[in-house]
Amino acid sequence: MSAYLIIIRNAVAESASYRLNQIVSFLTISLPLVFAVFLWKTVFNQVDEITNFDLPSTLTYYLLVVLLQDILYSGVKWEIVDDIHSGGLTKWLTKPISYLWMQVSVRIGTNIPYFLVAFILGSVFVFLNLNRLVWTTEPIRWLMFLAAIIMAFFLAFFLSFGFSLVAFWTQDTSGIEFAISIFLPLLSGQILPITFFPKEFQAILVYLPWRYTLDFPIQVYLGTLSSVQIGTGFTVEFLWLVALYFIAKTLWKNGLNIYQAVGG
Amino acid sequence: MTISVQNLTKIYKRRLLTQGQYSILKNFLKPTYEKVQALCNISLTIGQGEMVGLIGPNGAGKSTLIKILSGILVPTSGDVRVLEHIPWAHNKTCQSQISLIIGQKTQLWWDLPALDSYELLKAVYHIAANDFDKRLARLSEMLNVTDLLNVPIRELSLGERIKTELIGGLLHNPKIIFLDEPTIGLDLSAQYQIRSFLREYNSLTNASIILTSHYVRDIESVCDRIVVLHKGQFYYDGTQDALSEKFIPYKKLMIHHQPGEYSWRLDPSVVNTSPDQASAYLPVDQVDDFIALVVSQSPIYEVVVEDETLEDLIRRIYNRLSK
Amino acid sequence: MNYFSLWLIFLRNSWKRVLVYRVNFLILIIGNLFWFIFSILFFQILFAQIPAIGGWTLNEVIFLLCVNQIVIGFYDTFIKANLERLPSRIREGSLDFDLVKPVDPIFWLTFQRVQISSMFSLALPAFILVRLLLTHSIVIPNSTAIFLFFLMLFGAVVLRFVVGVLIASLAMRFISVQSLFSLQSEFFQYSGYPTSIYSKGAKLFFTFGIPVIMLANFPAQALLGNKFEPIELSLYPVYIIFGLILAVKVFSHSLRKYSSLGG
Repeated sequence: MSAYLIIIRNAVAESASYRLNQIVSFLTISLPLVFAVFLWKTVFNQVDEITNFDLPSTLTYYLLVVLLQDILYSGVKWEIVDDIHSGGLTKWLTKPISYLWMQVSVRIGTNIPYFLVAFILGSVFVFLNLNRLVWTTEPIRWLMFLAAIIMAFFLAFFLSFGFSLVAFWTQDTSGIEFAISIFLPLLSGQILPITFFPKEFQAILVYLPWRYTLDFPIQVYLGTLSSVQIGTGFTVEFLWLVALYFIAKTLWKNGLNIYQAVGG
Repeated sequence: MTISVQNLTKIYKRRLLTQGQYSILKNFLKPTYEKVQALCNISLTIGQGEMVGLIGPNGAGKSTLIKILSGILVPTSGDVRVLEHIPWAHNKTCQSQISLIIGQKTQLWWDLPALDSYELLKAVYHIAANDFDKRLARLSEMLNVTDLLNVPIRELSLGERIKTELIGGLLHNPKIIFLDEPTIGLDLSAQYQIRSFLREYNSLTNASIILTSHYVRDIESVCDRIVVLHKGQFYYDGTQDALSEKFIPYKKLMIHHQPGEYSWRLDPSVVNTSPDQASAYLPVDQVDDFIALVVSQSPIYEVVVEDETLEDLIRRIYNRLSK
Repeated sequence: MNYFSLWLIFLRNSWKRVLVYRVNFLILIIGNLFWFIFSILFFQILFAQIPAIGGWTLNEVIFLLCVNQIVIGFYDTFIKANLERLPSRIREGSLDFDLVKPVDPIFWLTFQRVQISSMFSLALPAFILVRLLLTHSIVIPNSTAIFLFFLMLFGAVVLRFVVGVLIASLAMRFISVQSLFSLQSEFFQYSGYPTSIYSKGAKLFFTFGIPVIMLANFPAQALLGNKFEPIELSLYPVYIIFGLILAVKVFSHSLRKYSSLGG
């Protein structure tokens, strides 16, 4: 257990080692929110709500996107691709440590400084917009939010891990990374809540896994979904989680065979 | 004087990362620095046509000196003139007459053939068309790379790359050529070619050549003058012969003897290569006594006595310097 | 020193380099346009739900996004690849060769690589812009407007240059400024947002503080023939010229203080 903690700590130190970068990350993270406030205030001056969303829920939505988008990232991780292609994976295979759980630790560790910064930012933002955000006091919503977040973390991780394992089979991952970078922001709800999309698209997106990495947990918190939608959501999310876990494990086993056959 | 340096000093600031529990926070809020003295009050002059070799252990200040002389680095204090100009003032006339070549780094465009980069250099240095053609032809012939000029740089071997790099650095007929570790990583044959090229080039054009290298053979075969740097100061500045004379010469002995554990084999100056063979490295005045000792203890098949090479001498100097 | 013919060699070498690396060129071109395409999608979806944003119609917003993307395209094509690579080149120590050449270092370091893929990416926003004009969704009043438009477009690229050079100057002292480059890119993406969303104070800040509005809004307004506030019009050239002088001075100063790593 301690090995994973040390990995977390090293990941923290590494991502915190550039002073100027930290201050700038702070500013870069705040940017979308600053402009979002201006934009949505103007929009909601003319309408009261857009499909269940009012100004507070929209602003809170984007705040939560900013807070969660890194730890719930479901695209290709270049570190894993690099480990596979350059043979760096070998050093992990000889150690009594699970590569998968090691990557989980790295993800958590890298995000801790980010969270610290985001927490400060979030507090400032909340303070400046006290009457304009959604704050729920219902314990059941918090519980569901927590459950959705935890499931989202592993869902996103298995998606990310799984796609990165493509590196076992191909040298050139740029095509798949490209495809993911086109669809990910749209499908996950990073750009707009899924409910803003035309009905036809929503019907499809609800059954795809990406929506559950950002849109779903956030909307659970905001209370913009009906109980039926929440119920279906959790079910679909759970099924995807199980499926992706097994897919990731299979990809890992098969990929490792290839890796070891080539000699790393 | 082509190059004159007086009382040159260069001090770097290097950031320190501390260890410990709260180190991350401490380094963030209040970073600490240490001072590294790269060059300490050095002075020298170099004339036109001289071939000077700078050697010294790692961190001695060789690259720092080259960078100051070529104008890349600004010193902390001191006066430097290169062709009557202050190098870091970047006077265009001065820059048009110097050249910098760094081992394992290329100024040529990586994905394109050398010729494309040469065209750029031709425009940068305002080289007249027929001068350019003549020099290019001659240089590529001297270095044997005429066929390689149309090959993208990234597809060339390291030796070929350095040769095209050299050509690129000489097309504008510089008066001074700075070379920082030009032969590093090259095989012996390529090293030899580069060395003889530099000698030939110097005799043809009377360009001054200032060269740093870890390979003593580079200095030995190319440079008349050796400057030994240690911890930012000159340890020696003069000819190769005078260097050998400054130090008591050593001899290398190779002793082929009947196998056995003899006490002379335990002497600190002896390296035992096998049960019946040993070599020793000794000051010249101790050789006779040592041979007498060996002969008195063991039957000898053969003793070979050689002069130490410049490389051995330099290694000895480095050893002494590190103490 | 004929800088223009030197630049032509830069262009030629950059083009040759692309021919060598034919792979993924199309991906690069489309990749450059992600934010642009997403923004258009975003506003199209949004405008399905609301009629206008502070008085701006969908066509006007798309027009603004196109102008913004064109400014970004010019910066990316001619300047970005060079300035934003400076920090890593400084780390590698490969800047040394550039400082030894008898060429103005700012010119040499800013323009050496022409990003051909970004040049091609300009096609999409240009195409959409022209279509908007041809379908009369946007109307140009007179030729002064066109002249002013191109002038301000140039001014916008100069502004990006100024910001880029100032950040690159920092790279000489603090090695890791990559994040600053990302930050300014992010800022200037939002130049495509209609100015009606800003309060009075914010508008002032985003015009003269961080010149987000100057980048796309000014040229766009010029082309539409809208009136500028007198303060905007008078301060604009001062701002740009002052910025240019400042950037050149700071960069030269930083180059002089530059210390390369290694020895």
